[in-house]
Amino acid sequence: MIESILKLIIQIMITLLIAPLFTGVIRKMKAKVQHRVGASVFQPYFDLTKLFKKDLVVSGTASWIYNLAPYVYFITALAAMCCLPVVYGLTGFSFYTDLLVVVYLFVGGRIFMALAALDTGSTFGGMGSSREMLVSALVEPALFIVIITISARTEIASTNIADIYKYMAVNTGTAFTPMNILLFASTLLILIAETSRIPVDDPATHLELTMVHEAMILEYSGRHLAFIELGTYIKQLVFMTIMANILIPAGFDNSNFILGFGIYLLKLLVITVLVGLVELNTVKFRLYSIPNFAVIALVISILGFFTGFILR
Amino acid sequence: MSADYLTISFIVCIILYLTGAISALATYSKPKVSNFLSNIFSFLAGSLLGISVIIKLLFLKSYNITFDFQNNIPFLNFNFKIDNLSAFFLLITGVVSLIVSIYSFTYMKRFFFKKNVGIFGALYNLFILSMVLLASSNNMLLFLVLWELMSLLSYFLVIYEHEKDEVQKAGRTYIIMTYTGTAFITAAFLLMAYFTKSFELSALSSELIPKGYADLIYVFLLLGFGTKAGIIPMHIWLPYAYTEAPGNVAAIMSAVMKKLSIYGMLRIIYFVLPENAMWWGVLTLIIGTVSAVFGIAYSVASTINIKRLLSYSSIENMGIIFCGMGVMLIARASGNSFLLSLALTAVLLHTLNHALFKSLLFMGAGAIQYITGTRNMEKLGGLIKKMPYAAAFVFVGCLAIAAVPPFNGFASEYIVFQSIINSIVWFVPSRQFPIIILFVIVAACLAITGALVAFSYVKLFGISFLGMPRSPEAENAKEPEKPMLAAMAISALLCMVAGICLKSVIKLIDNVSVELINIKLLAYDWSLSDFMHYPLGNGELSVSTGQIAGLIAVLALIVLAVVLMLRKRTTVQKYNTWDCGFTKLTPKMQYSAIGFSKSVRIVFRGLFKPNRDLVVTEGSGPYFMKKGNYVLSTEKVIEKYLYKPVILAILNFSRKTRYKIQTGSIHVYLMYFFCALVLMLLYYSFAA
Repeated sequence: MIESILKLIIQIMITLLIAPLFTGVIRKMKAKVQHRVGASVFQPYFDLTKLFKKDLVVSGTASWIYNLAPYVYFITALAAMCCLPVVYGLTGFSFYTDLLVVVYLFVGGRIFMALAALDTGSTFGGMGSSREMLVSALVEPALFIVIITISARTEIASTNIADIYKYMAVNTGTAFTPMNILLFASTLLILIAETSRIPVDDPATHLELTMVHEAMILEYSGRHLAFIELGTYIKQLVFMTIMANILIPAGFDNSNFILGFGIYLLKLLVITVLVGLVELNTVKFRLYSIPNFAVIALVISILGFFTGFILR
Repeated sequence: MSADYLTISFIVCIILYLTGAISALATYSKPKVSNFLSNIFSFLAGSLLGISVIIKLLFLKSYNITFDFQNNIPFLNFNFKIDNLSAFFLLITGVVSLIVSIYSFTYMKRFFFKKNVGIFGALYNLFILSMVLLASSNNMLLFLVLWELMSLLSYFLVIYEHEKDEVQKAGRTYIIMTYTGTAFITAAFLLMAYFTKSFELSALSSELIPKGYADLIYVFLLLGFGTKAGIIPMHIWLPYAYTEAPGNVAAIMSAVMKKLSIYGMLRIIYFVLPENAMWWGVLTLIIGTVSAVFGIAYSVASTINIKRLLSYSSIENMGIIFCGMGVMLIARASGNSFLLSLALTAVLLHTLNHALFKSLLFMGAGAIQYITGTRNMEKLGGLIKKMPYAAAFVFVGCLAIAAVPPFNGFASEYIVFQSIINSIVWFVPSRQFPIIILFVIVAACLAITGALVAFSYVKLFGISFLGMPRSPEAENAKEPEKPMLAAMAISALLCMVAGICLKSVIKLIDNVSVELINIKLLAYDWSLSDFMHYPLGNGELSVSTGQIAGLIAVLALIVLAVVLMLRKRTTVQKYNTWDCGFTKLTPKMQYSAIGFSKSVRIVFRGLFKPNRDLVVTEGSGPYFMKKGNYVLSTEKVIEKYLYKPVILAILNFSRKTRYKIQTGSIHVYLMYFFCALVLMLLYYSFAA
């Protein structure tokens, strides 16, 4: 009991510490390619600290939903992260949890954010929440196929984290199968769509034609905004962890905590670089081209399932 | 000893409903008294029913409440028997009707001195009574009679506001469709009775029905019960009937009456048709998936009426239940008992959960109509400030139906997904690729359904409760009276409890499973310490909604502490919403329900064929117009391409033949009589 609580605390600490880093890395990469110096990779940390200290401006039209949403968004993301195995032996939350819970927790956070955007009565908010709900609906099938393949991989049809963890610990040597790589690619696309990155959304834009996520959170300021930003960073980390640990469990069974953590960070950095490369080499899609993007993700995930279980 | 009490309490229940009906009718000239009497009796009866079936389900699992009314009508026995399956559906009936009765104390005030409340009270009590008796009848003919009675009474309740044209139209569509469905059920029952040589419903028949006929019976059942359940493509009556029915009736119809078609299916699948072919399940699965996707797509994209949105979402939920049923039949045909029990639990659990949250949401929609007089979302907005409690309860309903953990909707969708994943893995070793691919497609469809449900309910809650009020009615809204709030509060609480205490609910359902398939989903017995932890089968595969709720609560406390710390150092300033530096925002500038769902209409345009027309009435051209009409329309694809040709063909046929058969000449009619007589005599002489 005490031990699992300690583990949970350590996992939450690690999450909060490393989550903002990867956004900083992507921004730095972009700056380098565009021949700018760019801000330090730790800039997201500085931004968050600043936002936490700032005063708030709240819309007069808003109700309690608006005030609650940032916290719910943050808590659901953090709870989802607590469900995942980070390093061998450190799994945070106990094992009575499940990959589907992770997905549905995000649904909860998303509903709150979309409602909060409508709560202020702003046109931007309505636009953003309508688009965000659409994008998430479009990539949902791919995400579920990935989860189904992961659970079929355990051979006992389990989406339970404990069973997936057992599979991971045994199959570290044979991580780079075609199935795993295809699922990895599909999840990369899902990650891009879910965390609102180019080409689905542009986190740096504030132009009404292109905003999706930013339009939803336009009214937020101060610690509200800080919690939302941190929640998005954690959400990104959740998808990265699924890719790094669950999909490609190479080097996961390292019982040395420091070494295992190093491998985990390294894998996360590789994924960050991949996301950055996609971002550098594409432009933002039209909103109605996103279905094509989602279908690509779905097809890759179905191919992943087929290579694993049908074309054997 | 205690078992006798149950029989007595069941009879008392019937008497209470009848008393409610009669007393409401007797005092019809005093609407307040009449409404009070009708609701207090149905409330008492519902509570008594709920308590007694809970006792039966928990403590008297193997005891069946039976009683018989002797009569002289051949084949028709007034024979009632409540086993665990009946008790489970009676539980839903009792709980929902008792909650809705509390709600009706307030809701019916809409009609005082405008309509005859006494007749409504009588019909309402009789309608619930017909459902109670239906779920406990043990005779096929009795079942049919009660099914007819239920359909007819619900029809009268739907057309309660009969002076409106759209109500009449909704009622007509409903009665035609429901009779078509009943025809199929009757045909199926007659076939079954012919082969099993018995009209009994709840004893496993010893006679096996020949294979081809069993297939035919199942298709008839699917068509018949599917019509009542509102499965696509037999759904066309549902969005209209639920929209036009009074709020409390819509809640009961959606939460209870629809579920009785699931009851009928399960009753016959397990007691009359002891084996089934694989394709039954495949067919059911496909129909269920189509219903789920189409239902929710229409709910998102083509509704501005709250109740219509809820009705289309009901179609989607029935689709999910039928998916579970399809998996169940496939599991039974392929002999996987674990999967069978998992899918059966999914069916029963989603039936229960949908009854809880959909009655809550329909009550919420009724409350909005009661206060503002409109169901049109485009005229609402900002209600969360005017009616905070009602808004909070509806919000719980929205979260539950969108399957957010730890609410109850999550639990059942989780088990539906588990059953699909388990089927995929079950069929992988035997390399049955077509069915694996089918399941993968179903999973993808259910995934997008889940996401669109969230979309739909963000639209419902966001447009009607949040933002600025879009009409004076919404501006002047106030909190509804206490009984209405209390009913919604109970429902909301049940949605939370049924989600968090998942294991206890599964335990309850296991008693039904044992009766039907003799397998329990929960391997070991219930103990207080692990009442929230829900293990599947061997206990290896598990999720605990209770622990997730606990984790969220702990994290929330931490965040609360941080916020309290930060609050001391910062200030909060109230200011207008960002208006781009122009004049102040007006309610018209907000996103509308139609605008909110535009993206879905465009992406899934094949389903809706959206069409827009802009007619400039003043000014030159679309860019410099001063006034214009903008019409946006979506097409009902199924009505247009499936029903319309059939209806037109029937009308054409009758138009052409009418003057040949019904000539208006009495001689021809006399000849018809004569021919009929001759034919009957001929038949008699050869048949006998």
